[in-house]
Amino acid sequence: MSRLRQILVHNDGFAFDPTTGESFTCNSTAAFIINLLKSEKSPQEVSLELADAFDVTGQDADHDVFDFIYHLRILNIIE
Amino acid sequence: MPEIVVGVTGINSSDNPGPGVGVARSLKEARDLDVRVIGLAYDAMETGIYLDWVIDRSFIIPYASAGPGALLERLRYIKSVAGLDFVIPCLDIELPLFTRIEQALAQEGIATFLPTPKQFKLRGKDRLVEVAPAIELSLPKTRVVSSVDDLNAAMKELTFPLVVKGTHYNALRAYTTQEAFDCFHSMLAQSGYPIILQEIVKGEELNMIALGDGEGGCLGQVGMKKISTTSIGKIWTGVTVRNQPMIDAAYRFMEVYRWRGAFELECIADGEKVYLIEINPRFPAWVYFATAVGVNLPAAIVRTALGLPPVAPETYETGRLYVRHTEELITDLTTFQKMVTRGEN
Repeated sequence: MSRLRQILVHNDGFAFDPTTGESFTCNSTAAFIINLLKSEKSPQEVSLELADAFDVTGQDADHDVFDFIYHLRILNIIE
Repeated sequence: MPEIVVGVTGINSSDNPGPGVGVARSLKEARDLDVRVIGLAYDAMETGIYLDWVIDRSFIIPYASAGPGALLERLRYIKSVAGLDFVIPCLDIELPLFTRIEQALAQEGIATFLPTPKQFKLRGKDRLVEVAPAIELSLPKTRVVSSVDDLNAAMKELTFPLVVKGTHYNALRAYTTQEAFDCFHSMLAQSGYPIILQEIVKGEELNMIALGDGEGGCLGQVGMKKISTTSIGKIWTGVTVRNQPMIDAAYRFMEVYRWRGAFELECIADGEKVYLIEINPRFPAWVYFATAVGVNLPAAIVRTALGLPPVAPETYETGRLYVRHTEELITDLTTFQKMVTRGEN
C-alpha cells in the first residue's frame, strides 16, 4: 500500500507519484477509490461507499473495486 | 556585496548542451551575489558567447590537448584583463587538467572547487562496481572487459540485450553476440580499454544533482525524472521527484567519499530497487532546473569556495515541470568577428 499512499490525486483526475515522477489520469470513480484506499479503508469498505456514492448495486461496486485494484497491482501501485 | 567574476566552461548550448549556460544563468539569478560571468569557450561558435544577458564577456581557451601550461597561461591573461575570482569547469574531459593547475590558479587568486583526482577516478564507469554497493545502490549485472577473451567470457555470463560502454562518452545497445562484438570494437576505437558490458534494467530514469562540501556534507540536492529525451538521450522534459533511496545514496556518496563539488547521479528505479547507471563529476546540463525550483547550486559553490557566509540548503517542491525548448538568436557579426580574430569579446 506504501506507493499508493504517496500518490497525489487532483480533482481533475490527474495523479502524480512524487517518488518516481510517473503521472496517470483516472476517471472520477478511480479517483474516488484511490482516495478511499489511501485512507486505509478495506476493499469491502470502499465497495460499500462506492455503491452509496454512485448509486450502483453492491455487486457492481464490488466488481469495479476489485477490477481496479487488480489494475493497480499491474502498475505496481499496490501490493 | 562586491562583484565576483566567475569563469564558466561548457557554454555550447546545442542539441547536446553543455552545462555552462545553465550555470551562468543560475549565477546571474543568485539573490545574494553580484556575479559577472566570463564564458570560456573552445570555439567561436559556442552559443553561450552570444547570450550577452547571461554571459558578460567570452574568451577562447586552448583545448585540453595543449596541456595545463597553455590553459594556465590563458587564464592568467583573462584574469589580467577581465578579473577572474573563480572558475567552474563544466566538462568531464577538462576536469583532470583543472585539478592539475588548481594550486597554481589559487596562487593567482583564481579559486576552484573541484573533486580531487582520486575522487574523479571514482566516477569512472569501470569503478561503479565498487561504488554502487558502498552507497547501497544496486548495479545492473556488469562486466568490465579488457580483451576479446574477457568479452567472450562476459557474454556467457550476461543476458541480452546489453549496453556496451566506453570509459568516457557514449553507450551502444547490443541485442546479439555479433552486435556485441561490433559495439565492443567501436567503443575500443573511441576510448580504448576497459569496455563495460551491462545488462539492461527496466524502470524509471531518475537523476539527481547535488553538491558536496568536501567534508562529507551536502550543500543542496534536487531529484528529477526524465519524461522525454532526445534521440541521443538528453533530457527534453522532466519533473522534480523525491526518491528516498536515491537521496540516501547521494548523501552516502558525499559522506563516504567526502565528495567535493557538483555531481550528478543517473539511476533507474524499479519499485524499491534503485540501480546506479552513472556518476557525472560536474553540474549536469539541466542544472538550471534545480535553480528554478529554489536550489541554486552554482551560487552555493561560489559562496563555499570564496568563504562567503553559508546559506542553509534549500528544499524544493516535487511535481515541478522542466521543458527545454529551442530559440533563434539573430545578431550581427561583430561578436563572432572578435572571437575569431582576437579570441575574446
